[in-house]
Amino acid sequence: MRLVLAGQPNSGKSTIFNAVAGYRSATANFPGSSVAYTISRTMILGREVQIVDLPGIYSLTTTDAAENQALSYLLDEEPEVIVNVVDATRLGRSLELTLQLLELGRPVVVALNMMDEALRKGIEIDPEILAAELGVPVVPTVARRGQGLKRLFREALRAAMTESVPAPKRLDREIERAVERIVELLPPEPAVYPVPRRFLALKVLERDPGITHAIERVSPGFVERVRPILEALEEAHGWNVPEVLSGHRHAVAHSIEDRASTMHHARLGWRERVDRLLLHPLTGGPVMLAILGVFFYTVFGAGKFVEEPLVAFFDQLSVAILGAFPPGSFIGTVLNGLVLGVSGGIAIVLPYLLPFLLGLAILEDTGYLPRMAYILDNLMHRIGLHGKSVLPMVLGYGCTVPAIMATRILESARDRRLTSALTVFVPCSARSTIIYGLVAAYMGPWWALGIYFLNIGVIVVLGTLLSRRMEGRSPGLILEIPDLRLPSMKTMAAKTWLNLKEFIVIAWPLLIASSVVLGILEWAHADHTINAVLSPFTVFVLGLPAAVGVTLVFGVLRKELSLVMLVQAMGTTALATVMTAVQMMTFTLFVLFYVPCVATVAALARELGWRDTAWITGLTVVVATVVAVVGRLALTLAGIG
Amino acid sequence: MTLEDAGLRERVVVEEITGGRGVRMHLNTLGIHVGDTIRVVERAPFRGPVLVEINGSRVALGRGIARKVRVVPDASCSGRPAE
Ligand SMILES: Nc1nc2c(ncn2[C@@H]2O[C@H](COP(=O)(O)OP(=O)(O)OP(=O)(O)O)[C@@H](O)[C@H]2O)c(=O)[nH]1
Ligand SMILES: [Mg+2]
Repeated sequence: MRLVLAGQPNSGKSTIFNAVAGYRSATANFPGSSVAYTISRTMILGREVQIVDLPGIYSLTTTDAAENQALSYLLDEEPEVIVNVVDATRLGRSLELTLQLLELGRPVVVALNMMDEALRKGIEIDPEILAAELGVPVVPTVARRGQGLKRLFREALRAAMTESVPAPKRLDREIERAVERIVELLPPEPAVYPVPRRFLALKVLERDPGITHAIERVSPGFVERVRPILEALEEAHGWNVPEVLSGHRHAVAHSIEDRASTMHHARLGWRERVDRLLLHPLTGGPVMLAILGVFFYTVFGAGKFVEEPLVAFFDQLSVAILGAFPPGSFIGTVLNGLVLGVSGGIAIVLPYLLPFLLGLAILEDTGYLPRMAYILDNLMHRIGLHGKSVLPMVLGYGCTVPAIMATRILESARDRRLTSALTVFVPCSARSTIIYGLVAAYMGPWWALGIYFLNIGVIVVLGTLLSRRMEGRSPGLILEIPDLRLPSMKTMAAKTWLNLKEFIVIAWPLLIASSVVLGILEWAHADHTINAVLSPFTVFVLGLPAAVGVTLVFGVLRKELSLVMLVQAMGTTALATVMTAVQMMTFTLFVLFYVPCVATVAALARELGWRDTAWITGLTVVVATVVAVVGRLALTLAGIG
Repeated sequence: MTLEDAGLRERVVVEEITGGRGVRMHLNTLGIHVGDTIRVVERAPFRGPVLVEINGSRVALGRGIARKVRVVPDASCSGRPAE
């Protein structure tokens, strides 16, 4: 049996999904946190159920690629029951979608979620009245605390088993008449999609291009035949039909809301006051800088505190191992590579990665990200985008792969391309560990902060140049700003763990394997060959020690490798004794920008195709070289190191 | 007047949404229709976006979008206007 969670963005679908499926679907306090559907098989009340978490949709008319995913799932897959997750604090607007879901001819159960928030806002909703109005079961829930979920799934299973298909709400008389006439003109069964003919007719009225074309293909001349119906309706209302329909649903939804809910006096609390500060024209910008500054220093402080004793411990271990075997023996080098790989993960990467991911989870769950989009909209216009692109780009500080997928929340293909290209240049957490572990640790935190600013500067320049070359204009910012929320410890821990697991399961083994491979290469003196081949570039152009050559090659696999293997290649964790400050800076700048890791390249290819991937990758090498060389010259001239 | 020039904290009624089908539908789905009452809550500096409140939810609209929403001051100032 298939149960699908559908509803407006940020209503709590993924939270409900995770409650039964274990934490698998990322949740966050901004619209568009899920951009692809997640499927899981679980036992619910003793039955095996396939449960599907869809990206949020505001209506069954799509405006972006993530919504398209959700819509095509609903149209093609014939789920046994639709659980419509509704944000109780936005009841009227949410019901506009509910009315459309009722048209799909599938059993529907409404989860009236965020009841705690509604209570706080003084909104009282009577689920019984709502259920009677809609003709489907309505279950109040607080997904974050698991309240009401058991009853929700019981109702959903019952609806699926009894196949209780709700009757769609009737719309105004003229629309209904137009619908009837279009239904008669539809091609005979089987229709284009496994949905009721009434639904298809409504989509034709809405001038949905996808569905209209699909019908026209099966039944040529269809568009011409329905044209008079649409024109007559337009004539009668003086508006275009899609808006007539949407306006009508709006009215119906709000009259249901009025009947089912009562407004009491809302208690204004800390959220409203904090929000004023976050969004105020005078304080918004400075507060944002302060928040990011605190973020940076906390990650640096926490990381350094843990890193130093760990590194010291593993250094001793490594010395002991090397001492136990005769110098140059195969087993000794391999074992040493193994220890370096293991310790690199624990001692160098994790201390910075963990607080970083935790910090990002806080930003996501409080709802601060959409506020950043609001504050930075202006700046983004300068680089030919709009504020929504801030979301994927900030996510890029975590990991580039989900960030590139997150560009699906953007409305136009042009914006998606441009934002993906720029997101590749945002230092992901792996590259941040290099900034922290090398530059901040050896040269001081101000230098590291400088790198972040330099990086933003480079992105702005690139954006300005690239957007001039791309045709079309950004459609402009339309973004819902959700209420601020205190993040719950449980979801934060689960989410950080989900992200960390990716490092532990994929990156770390790769790190260990690569370290062993490097050990073998060193033993066979093959690393010298690779380094020698690369040395015209590494030594002559970048002014780095020849030994870094191999680390750059491995860095293409995973960005963390560059730092960990730098330690191995240079033969010491005391990097300051073998590299000058200028060299560390040059190395970091180059690693920061050059070729994204293989996972990113694959994600780019999936979202944009190989052509775009090729030029973006080429661009990274050019930019990395230019920035590194300029940085090297500038620092040398300034007499640093 | 458009939403771009509406006064801070002023209640206004949407009169017309100009611009393409995409923008109109997008605003519709976020709960902004002709005849709705909305309130400008905040206005970002340097020609940044405007933040509007509609039926208890908040939506950020870039200036270019705000310019496409024609509004008139709300005469009744109480309750939801007739559709
Ligand atoms: N207060 C409260 N918060 C909730 C509740 N359910 C979910 N949340 C929070 O609401 C936010 C959005 O939840 P998600 O589960 O990511 O929402 P979604 O519907 O999957 O969102 P999209 O994937 O963007 O469509 C998260 O920060 C959740 O922790 C609830 O019942 N009460
Ligand atoms: Mg989700």
